[in-house]
Amino acid sequence: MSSMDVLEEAKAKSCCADLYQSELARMIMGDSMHPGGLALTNQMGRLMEIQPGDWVADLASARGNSALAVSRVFKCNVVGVEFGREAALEAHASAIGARLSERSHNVQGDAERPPLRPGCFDSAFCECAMSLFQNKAQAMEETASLLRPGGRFGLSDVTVEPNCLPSEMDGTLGQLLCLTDALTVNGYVELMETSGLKLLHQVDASVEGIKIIDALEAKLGAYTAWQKMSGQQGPDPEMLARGPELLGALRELVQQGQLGYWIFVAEKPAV
Amino acid sequence: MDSRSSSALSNGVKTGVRVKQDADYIFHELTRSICPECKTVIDAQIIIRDNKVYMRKRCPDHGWFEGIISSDAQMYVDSVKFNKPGTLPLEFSNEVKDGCPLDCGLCPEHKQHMCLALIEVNTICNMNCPVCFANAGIGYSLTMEQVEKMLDRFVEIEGDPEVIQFSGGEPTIHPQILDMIQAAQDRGIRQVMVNTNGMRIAKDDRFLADLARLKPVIYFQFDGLRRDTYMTIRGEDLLDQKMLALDRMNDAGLDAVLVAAIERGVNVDEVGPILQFGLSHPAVRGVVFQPVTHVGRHIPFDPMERVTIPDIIHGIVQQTEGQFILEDFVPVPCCFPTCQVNSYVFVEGETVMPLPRLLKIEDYLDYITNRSMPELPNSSDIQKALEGLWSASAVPGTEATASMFECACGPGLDLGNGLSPLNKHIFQIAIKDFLDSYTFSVKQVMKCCVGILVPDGRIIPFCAYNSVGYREQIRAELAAEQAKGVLAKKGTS
Repeated sequence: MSSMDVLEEAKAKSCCADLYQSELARMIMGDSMHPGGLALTNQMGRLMEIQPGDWVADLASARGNSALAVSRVFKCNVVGVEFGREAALEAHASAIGARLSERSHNVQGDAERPPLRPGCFDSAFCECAMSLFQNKAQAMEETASLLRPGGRFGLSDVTVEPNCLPSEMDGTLGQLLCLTDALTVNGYVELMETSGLKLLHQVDASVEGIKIIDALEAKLGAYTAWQKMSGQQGPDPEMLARGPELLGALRELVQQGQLGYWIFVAEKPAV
Repeated sequence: MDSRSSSALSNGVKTGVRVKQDADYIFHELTRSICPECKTVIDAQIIIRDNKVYMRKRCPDHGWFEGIISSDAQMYVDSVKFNKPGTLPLEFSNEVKDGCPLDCGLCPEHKQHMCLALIEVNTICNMNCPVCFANAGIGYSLTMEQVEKMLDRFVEIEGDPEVIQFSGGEPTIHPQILDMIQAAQDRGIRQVMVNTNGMRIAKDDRFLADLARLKPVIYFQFDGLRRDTYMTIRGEDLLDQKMLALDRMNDAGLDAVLVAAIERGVNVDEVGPILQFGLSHPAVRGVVFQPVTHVGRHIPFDPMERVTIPDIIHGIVQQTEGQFILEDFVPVPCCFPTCQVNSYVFVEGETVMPLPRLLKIEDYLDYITNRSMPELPNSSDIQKALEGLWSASAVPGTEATASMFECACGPGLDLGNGLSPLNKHIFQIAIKDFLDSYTFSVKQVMKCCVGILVPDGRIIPFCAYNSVGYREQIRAELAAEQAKGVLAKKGTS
């Protein structure tokens, strides 16, 4: 990779992290930042069979909400890796505020190349972020290398069948909804198996996508109403105007099975 | 001698013409209930007399019982059309064996999932109120481990639980209540509420600061604005402490819902002032009126004179001088619609605008008679939003409620200026009539959507828990288990 490529990649990651740290992201996605919220995180944790005292890596941990919750619910140690500096700092502050800094640690770093010692983790998980990674194969290999033999990896992410998205989804909104570079269900399975992991569970959680679309429709309505009443202009009036139509199209895609949200749990074979 | 035998003389010789007499009531329907004395399940008639609805029933051992269930028959009968198909939970916990209400857990005959679950974390309280459906006192205190298991069970049953409410006893005096709130939030339960008398909030700075960090909605016992109301219902004058607690919640950024227990001859005349006070206080996002449930501890009452939902609606209309009208209150479809009515109000400065004035709710939530009506514009979106609002799981002051209110109104309606953040402008009024042994109806319990989680993994409909004997049984079992644990510890130390 040339130095120019490295620079471009860093820029893209920084832009992505900025987007996820933004108020717009919080408004659209809520605090948990992925479909299904903490309920789905815990479901994945149960499938991963996280045990008390385990060491678990949360890759692309954002503000650390999932990491903190997993640490408390499963009574395990969690290390969150997040590219965005503000988000990583906020996660660290939350862990201290929750008096959990001994069990919940946060590192600012690239989740595609986590700065963690290989072979030391009982589990790792990645929520709604693999779809955003630029070099997924490499990220997956790095992740697999973190696990001890017999360790488990949980992935929850958006699935998209090729060429089904409306063209508007190429931009910011598509990126925010993890649609732009998402894989098919089989695409994620192949990715994990190529990295030497053995698939144990795959769960269709696409109903959570429908719930997000419901919530987005309600929020879009509220935002439009607020604009009308306050006379203030939003950042992208054209996109807001087209919002209901786009969300309707996305809903149809989910109902047709072309767009979805899945949980995968895989195991690193014991040597 | 009754009127039907008036044509017979005392010596048995028949004279004159026999005349058939009309009953002085309309037989409306038959349900199953319990004997107020022995709790045996018995048939019960629902009858209408003088535009009021009564439950009449006979126990073979204890005779006839009658009690009022609605003081406005028209309102009662009209509410039925709001009944909607239930949504079943992911799992049931009990088999059908003895029939409702004896197999609670839930059993597969239950008609609705649980919109709201309560965990009673302890039985002790820092008050000793003459009115207390939970009969607070010595009993048990749940461990963190028990509560975590109950929360996990709630997630298993519901998949995506809506509301959990920590109650007691007095939950704020449980040493691990903050960890319990956090544990519920960690499991992705969308709304967490704490049902409290507010005494600890009024006094304990550190506790209040910790609570403010977690931001549960405070379900705050608040029975009125008169000192004698508290003397009667709570046994002491609490008015100043209630006001102090509310002001401290406001300073800490906590949202409160006022919960008023309403009893005949005590505070029925305060429903309007309580509502207006709530509308004017910056910490208050809603008011819940609950006619006193005559289970546990209560003051002496006449079952023919108990407070019912229409008494409170009429009281609000009369006491707020035109601010509210009868049509502002709409039955809740997720539970049986005679159990609860709701209204939502948009508040902006001096403007108080009930949502039903902006949108004819009936057109969207009338499930029985509206089936053949042509599609209304945006009807599925609006219906979905309204179902969310008119649900037992709607929590005032939350973002979800705000979004649905907005969606329900639609952007074309002028609700006033400065509509952000929305949730501070939306106020909920709920009137919830819990059942007691005089009003207990299996028909309502089978569709109940408010349940009590118990450590063995069951979730028991609230009114069955309180009226049928589950509360007493489970409390005795948990207290015995705890005592055994303490004794075992002493033995090993």
